Amino acid sequence: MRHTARPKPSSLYATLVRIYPQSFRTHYGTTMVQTFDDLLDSEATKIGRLKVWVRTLTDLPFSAGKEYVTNGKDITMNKTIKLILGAAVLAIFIVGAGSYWAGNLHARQSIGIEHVTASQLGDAMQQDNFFSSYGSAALLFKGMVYSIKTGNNVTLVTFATNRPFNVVCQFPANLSVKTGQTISVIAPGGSAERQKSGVLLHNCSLN
Amino acid sequence: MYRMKKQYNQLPQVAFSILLALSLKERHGYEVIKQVTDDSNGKINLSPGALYTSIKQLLEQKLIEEVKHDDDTRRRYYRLTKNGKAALNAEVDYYQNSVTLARQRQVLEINYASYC
Repeated sequence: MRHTARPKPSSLYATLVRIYPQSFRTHYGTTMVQTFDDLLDSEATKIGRLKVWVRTLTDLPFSAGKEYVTNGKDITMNKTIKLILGAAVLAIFIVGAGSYWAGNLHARQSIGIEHVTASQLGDAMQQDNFFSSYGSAALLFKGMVYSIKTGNNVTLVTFATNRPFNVVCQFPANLSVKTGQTISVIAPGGSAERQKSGVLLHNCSLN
Repeated sequence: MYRMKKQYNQLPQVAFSILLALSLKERHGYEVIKQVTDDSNGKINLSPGALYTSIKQLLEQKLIEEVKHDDDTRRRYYRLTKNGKAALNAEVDYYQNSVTLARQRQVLEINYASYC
């Protein structure tokens, strides 16, 4: 018959104590196991010993976590709470910023915003693929104002391109922009009109 | 006002209970746990983890100190320092004042059921 020695309950606790930071374990590990042993020895019944185990095991992640948060520094309870709150606020900020970015990206993808240059628009119209490429998109582009014409409550802004075709945007109201200024414009691609001198985009607005 | 608030926030309940347990004599971990349980009528049952994380903070704040016992090298004994006694006194004063106020205001006799 083979006898195997049953491990002492405290040896299991000694293993669990490894969850604490090393510096804390070095100072208090042995004495914690001794105290746990004393607690078990003082209980006469199995129920009593079970209670000691439950109490110790449920507290283990909290006290170990607290020790990792304080990281061996002299830190009061208030500071710990502040640290936890600070981490929570930072986490909320990161999640919020991430959601905003993802939502913004999703919105742009949903309504099909196309980032283009004025030259690209001119080329597309010249090559007769403007409407197939941009007909159902909202066009977002930056360009330098070449000339401005105002009349009948509309403003026509011509953008300089390095192509023979210009891009002209029609704004539904008077616009306070100057020649040479770089502006960002959003316009529905479907509103484009082929002109002799280039592309005319209706219903433009400043971005 | 701020100083008072800070002073009374310095001792969490577990820390206060440990200082109170050490007010009679120096004790090792198991004795502290038992004394805290007795003092709180069984309401506070500390685990070794909770005890020693608090003990560590109290040592760092110099409110308690370790005492060598040559006849028992397996256990660590702790006792109150002068600062620890002062902190405990201040805390007890605060509670005593609170109890006096509560009695004057007959807090325990308020029938909360009448407010519901």
